[in-house]
Amino acid sequence: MYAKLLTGGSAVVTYQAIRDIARLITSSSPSTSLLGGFSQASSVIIDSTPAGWTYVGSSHASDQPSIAAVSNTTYPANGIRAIMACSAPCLEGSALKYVCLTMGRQGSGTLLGGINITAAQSVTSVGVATNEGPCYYNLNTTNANLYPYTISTAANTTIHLIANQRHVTLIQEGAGIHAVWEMSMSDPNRFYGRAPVAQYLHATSSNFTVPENMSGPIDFAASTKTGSAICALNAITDVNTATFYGNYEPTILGTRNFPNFFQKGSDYRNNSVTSTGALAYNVQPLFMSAGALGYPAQAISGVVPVYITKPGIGTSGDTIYVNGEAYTWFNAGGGFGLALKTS
Amino acid sequence: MNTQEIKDYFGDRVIYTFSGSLDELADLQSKTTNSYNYIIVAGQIYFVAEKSVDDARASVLE
Repeated sequence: MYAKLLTGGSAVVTYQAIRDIARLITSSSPSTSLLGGFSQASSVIIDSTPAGWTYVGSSHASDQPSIAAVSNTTYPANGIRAIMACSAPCLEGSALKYVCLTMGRQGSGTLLGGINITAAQSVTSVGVATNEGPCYYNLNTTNANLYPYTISTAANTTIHLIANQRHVTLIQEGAGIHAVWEMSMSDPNRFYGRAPVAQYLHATSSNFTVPENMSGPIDFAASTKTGSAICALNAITDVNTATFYGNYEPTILGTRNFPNFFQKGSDYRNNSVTSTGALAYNVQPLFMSAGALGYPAQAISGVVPVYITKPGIGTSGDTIYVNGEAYTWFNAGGGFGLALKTS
Repeated sequence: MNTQEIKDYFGDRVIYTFSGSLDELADLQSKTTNSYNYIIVAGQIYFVAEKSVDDARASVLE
């Protein structure tokens, strides 16, 4: 499923945007008629293949047990962090993966707080999350602007929502991404019965700073943690020490466990050359390698139809070919581009 | 992980130890609609929660 979501000339209430995204990824027939926040007139469903996620629930009472009503304009109260969750099976095993949709800034008074996507080990029908992955939020509705860390719903913003049963990827045009991606299965994942899931949040991809340790959502107002790129593996046990991490992120044992995500600059995936000397783009697969915890390299590309590229090599929507297969290229800001299949 | 590393892992939050099982913790947090994140170090459960926790099995890590 690929939905190109436009806010139009006015900002979209973030909570409405979250409802829209949850409706789209759980719909058996994705359509702009499901949009209550984004512009129905200017947004487009480019690939209506159902994403195959299931609505789990929300901590907000009016979104229990369903978010079907497009006309619902009730919002969480100020100062309350609301969660909306969806689940999907993995390619192997019985453990589900969960994606949480939340706002950066909370409350009915300031509903333009930006979108967060996080993974979680589990979420109940009333929005009780266990081991939700790291992100920034702010309970103080008058405090810092979270847009550098979240996906914006400000006026004249384009958001690309690409999802299938393996992933949910949100790209803010020309800015960055928030994504939850399934990885290839590993024997440790099988042994511990955990879904192989990673999340990557980099809403401003031109800004490369990794936050200090983040075990979960961090109240931005109460913290000095300001790194822009957040990456974490969800619910993972260190095979050697039996330490269980609700979320394991790179600052615990270094970015060596996350070898090819983080940017060193816009030339990190610079141009290449064909065997005949023609210009070629350096398109790279994504993978995890938590070797320090006893895990083999686990592929994201190949499970999720995604590759990462140099930024600025085209225009969002362009078709590029990776190993002879067609992908859609997206402008994810100054740090990198993404190539994805949309179904 | 030592105590300081556990504190570093959870950041600026109230950390609880839990003397029950993981199923009991899940049941407690579900009944009180309180989202939580946990870590297990040397068999001991440490967790942080969205709201404060009032249960005899949960103690604040000093």
